[in-house]
Amino acid sequence: MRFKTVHIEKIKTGAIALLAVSALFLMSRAGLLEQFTAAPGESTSTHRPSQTGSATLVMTQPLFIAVSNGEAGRCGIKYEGEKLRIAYGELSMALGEALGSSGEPEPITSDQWERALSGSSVFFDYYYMRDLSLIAEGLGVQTGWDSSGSKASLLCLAEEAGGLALYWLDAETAQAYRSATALDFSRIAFIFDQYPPNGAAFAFELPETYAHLSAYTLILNAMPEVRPVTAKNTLYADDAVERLLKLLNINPFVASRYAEADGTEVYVEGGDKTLRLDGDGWAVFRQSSDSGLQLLTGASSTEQALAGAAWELVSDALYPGGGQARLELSNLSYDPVLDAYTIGFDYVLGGIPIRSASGRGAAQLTVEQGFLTALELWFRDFEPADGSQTVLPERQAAALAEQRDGQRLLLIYEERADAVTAKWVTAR
Amino acid sequence: MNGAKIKNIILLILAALNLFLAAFVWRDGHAVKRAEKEALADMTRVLQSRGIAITADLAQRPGEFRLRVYRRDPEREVQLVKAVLGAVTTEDLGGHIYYYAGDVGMAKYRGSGDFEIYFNGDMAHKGADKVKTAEALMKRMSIPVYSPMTEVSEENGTTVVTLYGAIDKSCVYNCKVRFTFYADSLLVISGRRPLDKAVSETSGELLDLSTVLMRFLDALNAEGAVCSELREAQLGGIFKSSLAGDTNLTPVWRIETDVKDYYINAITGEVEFL
Repeated sequence: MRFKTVHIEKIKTGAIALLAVSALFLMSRAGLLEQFTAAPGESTSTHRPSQTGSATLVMTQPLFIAVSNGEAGRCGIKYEGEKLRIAYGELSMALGEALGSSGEPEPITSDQWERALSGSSVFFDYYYMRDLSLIAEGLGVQTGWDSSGSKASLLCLAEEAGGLALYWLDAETAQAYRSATALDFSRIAFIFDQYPPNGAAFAFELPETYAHLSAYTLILNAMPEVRPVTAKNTLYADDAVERLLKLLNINPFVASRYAEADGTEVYVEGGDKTLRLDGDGWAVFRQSSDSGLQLLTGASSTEQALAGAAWELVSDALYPGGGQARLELSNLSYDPVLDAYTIGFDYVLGGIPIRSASGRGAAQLTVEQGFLTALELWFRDFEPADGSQTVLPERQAAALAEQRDGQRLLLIYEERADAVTAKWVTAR
Repeated sequence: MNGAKIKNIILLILAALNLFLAAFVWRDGHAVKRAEKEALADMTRVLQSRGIAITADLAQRPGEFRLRVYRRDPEREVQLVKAVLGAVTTEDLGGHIYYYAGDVGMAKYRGSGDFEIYFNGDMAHKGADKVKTAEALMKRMSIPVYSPMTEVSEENGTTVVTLYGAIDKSCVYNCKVRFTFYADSLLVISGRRPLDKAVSETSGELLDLSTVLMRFLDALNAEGAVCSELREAQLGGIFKSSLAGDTNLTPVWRIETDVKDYYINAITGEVEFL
């Protein structure tokens, strides 16, 4: 009898354990368990930057692409963000393979460069100079030759006797180069049917003469639809300031904090770290080198690693910023005298970069001896609105740029006095 | 109160709690299924009001889709090449392109999974039943075949057999391998293969079919395209590759229309282009 009682009690204990586990299982199926496991004040949703697209794509994607089918004509993809994303998604593999299998480059004449552009080819315009090794590493390859220091803003994959050669132009020195690759032309041949000619042409191909405008400016025959855009200051939205302070290792309880006459909020910590937050959505950070955030370490000292670290910092700081606009790398340059890198990011909406009235983009960083010494962030959300904006046709804009001795032509959205308008800008 | 009585009370409480939670989960699941069914019916009406006749079976509920990440294994790749070409030499061309050459033919394999194999004329595979020949070679290349999508085209003495790869019996729409025959001789194999080893696996929550159809409609509107028939909606996968990194097997819905096929990412709803 006693044995039976003990046996029954054991069964009851087992049943209790089973029912407890079953209850936990059913609670998790019902989603009730998550409410208890989240820390107080924390959302149960995953906190990730909202910027779509991988960091790799962001850092290797050009601003414009042209698909040239020889005499049949050319399709220029400019100021159409989605179309550019799709085209680059289809071509990035070939570009990476071309870079990775490229042979030792040889300098070529401008005639050879222009013949390549005008033949069966695909053309990538990064607008700003990029180190070829940055593009290669971003695409997961390494060139078989030392490409660090080889810079280009324009790249081209062109057919050569059934194969594919890689061409690029260093716009600063105006020297073009060519490398053989291991690719057949068939690697990109599929693209010509997908992008039929739309009348785009390079400046050097047009009947009018440009003395100042870059000969390799891709000029569209007809502008795509340019939508109006609205902007919102997001600096004081949600917990943006708290997040920024944390990212920059500024302790709000230790730092001195005061407001300037114009309302700018200033944090000063340790005498060498300053963060200014103004009412217009700008955050400006300064810090002396050899302290604070290290973006470049001995273990990962490539430009690719630096660009990646900068991207992580900026996208985390601006999260979930940008609205519908994407954050894209605009420039990365190095000053060997100061041993300092300058890295810039733009908001880009519909393939069109967005700038403030002062000409600044989404973010700019200065990294000296591996340490972050300056950071400017523009806290904005941008949303496209219905309808379309009237924009001067590119050929006419090119003529105006030529009159102003402008070498480069770019359509941007400019935010000025709470309005965002599309306008052409020229640069030397 | 002795221990036995306490246990009885705990048992009763836990039993009641389990009953309550089971009812809650069942009711919740039932409500979700009902909502999905209603949303699908609404979406069907919207499509029909747009002049799109629906001949596809939309009532199907696809099974769970496992998200996998694949990675290239150069050693295994060589073995697979040898299974088709016999003894080969290997050359790294850079850009993650490997070139294999032997007496039977040559091949180029890329980091993305794309490959081409060319047979020397007199060493080419011969077979009157070209589909069977192609299927046998797919087996040698360790690529399971999704038979319902097999395509055969003939022109000017050239026959192209296109086979689609399968994973977990689902079609991988961009794992397409083309076998080009001239007369009875197989001259070229080209396409994309799954990379060599699965390095991770997760299960993902997929969008319901009504949301997928909404994205399909958005894609039609964005393109300004017109279609009059929705013939099939099938869940499968595509490989999304990077050159040097991993390949992700991503679930997509293939929406077959009378105009063309659309591929809608079953997790994000984005339109995918193959």
